[in-house]
Amino acid sequence: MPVIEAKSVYKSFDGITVLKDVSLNVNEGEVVAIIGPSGSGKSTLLRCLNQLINIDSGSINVCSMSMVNTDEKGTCKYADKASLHKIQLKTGLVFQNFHLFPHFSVLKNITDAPMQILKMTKQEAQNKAYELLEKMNLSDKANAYPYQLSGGQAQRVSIARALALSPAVLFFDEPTSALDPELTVEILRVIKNLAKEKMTMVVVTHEMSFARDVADRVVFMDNGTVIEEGAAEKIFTNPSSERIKQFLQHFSV
Amino acid sequence: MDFLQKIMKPMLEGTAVSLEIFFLTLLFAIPLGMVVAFGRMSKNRFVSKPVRAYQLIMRGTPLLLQLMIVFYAPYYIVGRTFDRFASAIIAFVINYAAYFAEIFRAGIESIPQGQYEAAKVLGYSKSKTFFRIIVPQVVKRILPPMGNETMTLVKDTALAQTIAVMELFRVATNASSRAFSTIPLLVAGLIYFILNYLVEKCYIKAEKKLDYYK
Ligand SMILES: Nc1ncnc2c1ncn2[C@@H]1O[C@H](COP(=O)(O)OP(=O)(O)O)[C@@H](O)[C@H]1O
Ligand SMILES: [Mg+2]
Repeated sequence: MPVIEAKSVYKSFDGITVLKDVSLNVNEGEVVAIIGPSGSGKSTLLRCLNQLINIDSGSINVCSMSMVNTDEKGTCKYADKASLHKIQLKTGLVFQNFHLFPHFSVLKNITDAPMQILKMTKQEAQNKAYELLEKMNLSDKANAYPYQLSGGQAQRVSIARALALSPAVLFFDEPTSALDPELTVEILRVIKNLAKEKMTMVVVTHEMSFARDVADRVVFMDNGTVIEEGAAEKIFTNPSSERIKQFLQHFSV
Repeated sequence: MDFLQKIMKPMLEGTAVSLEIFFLTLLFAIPLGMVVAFGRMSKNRFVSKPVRAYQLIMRGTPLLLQLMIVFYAPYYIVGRTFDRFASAIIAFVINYAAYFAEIFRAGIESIPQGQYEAAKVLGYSKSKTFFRIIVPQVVKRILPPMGNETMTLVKDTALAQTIAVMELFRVATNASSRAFSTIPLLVAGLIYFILNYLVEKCYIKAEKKLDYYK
């Protein structure tokens, strides 16, 4: 079952086209890695899929619900507010710089949205939060504040915060780029464990060996378009485009 | 001693008037300042430009003059003046709202965009984002400049005497000239100092209370 169906997405900023005819499908339980040089539109794509920015044309469906559609005349129309909110809750996004809420404790960072948005009881929300914290190996940090956490811990809290809403798909935008190498490993391990549990995920990353290891499918973007996509093994060992070969030369995979 | 006792009663009455100006100004200037801050941040320049002009006038001219204009202008327009105390409150409120607005604006704009984005992705509505995520962080950041402004207000209430409001400093000046003594003025100074000591204490306490996060 497709969780994400994005078709012919276009997006430009001030006349500069950043996404050109980008399509992406993600099936339930699949892990997709998006790779590509900086400035190629990876973040912009994730931000479109998470409703942080509006696309200019194309269509996006999430869990078979239409977020945005473009008719034959080229008019791009978003769904109504209530539907967009429902879709918003189906997608989660983990940022490069965590963006935890500094005035909330770790526990509250994780329970606030479930209580405020999903109207969970405090008890339910906390049970779920403790469960997630344990999974993230952070049980002892429940009452800490974000400023007291290392980058790796903060990123794990932000993953728990996103998971607390039980999204159908979790997006990661370079989740380890702000971290030291040894902290990178712990985040990658968390994502790997989520993959084992069949969590549907889309990960923008520069960690090529991780992409090769964990992703079912790899999408290579350059200059606002998807140049090639396919099974991780195929992309890394036998890519058809010259551009990927060049790009991968920068990494020792 | 006798002299002190005699001046204390009017001085305390004057203090009460000063405190009324102080609290009423805070009460109205803070909410008005928020409205002004939003007007200033509006993307619509037909809103933001006039708001900026208003702020520039309030911040660029003496409060003393603004007090006079608020009180005397009605005389030239409608042929009469209005209550002195009410005029003073109006002048203080529109003046302080302009300053508060700048503090609020700076506070709101200092919150990183990522906070809004994280909240949006988690499904928070615009108002929930503002009141649960943004405002608490803004409050913490603006406490020091607000403390400054509040202490200035305590002293600025003395300007209300220009339109003959019988606030503390006016009372002290009168008593001083009647008795050929500087003591009432020094007592007034001491009272302002004590009031500001209390104001500062409140702000320190509030800052301590929000000390639990960075
Ligand atoms: N809000 C924005 N306004 C203007 N240009 C933007 C904005 N966001 C991204 N861009 C531009 O879009 C291009 C793609 O950026 P991005 O999606 O961040 O790339 P990537 O994540 O692959 O490094 C870049 O050239 C960037 O400068
Ligand atoms: Mg990026």
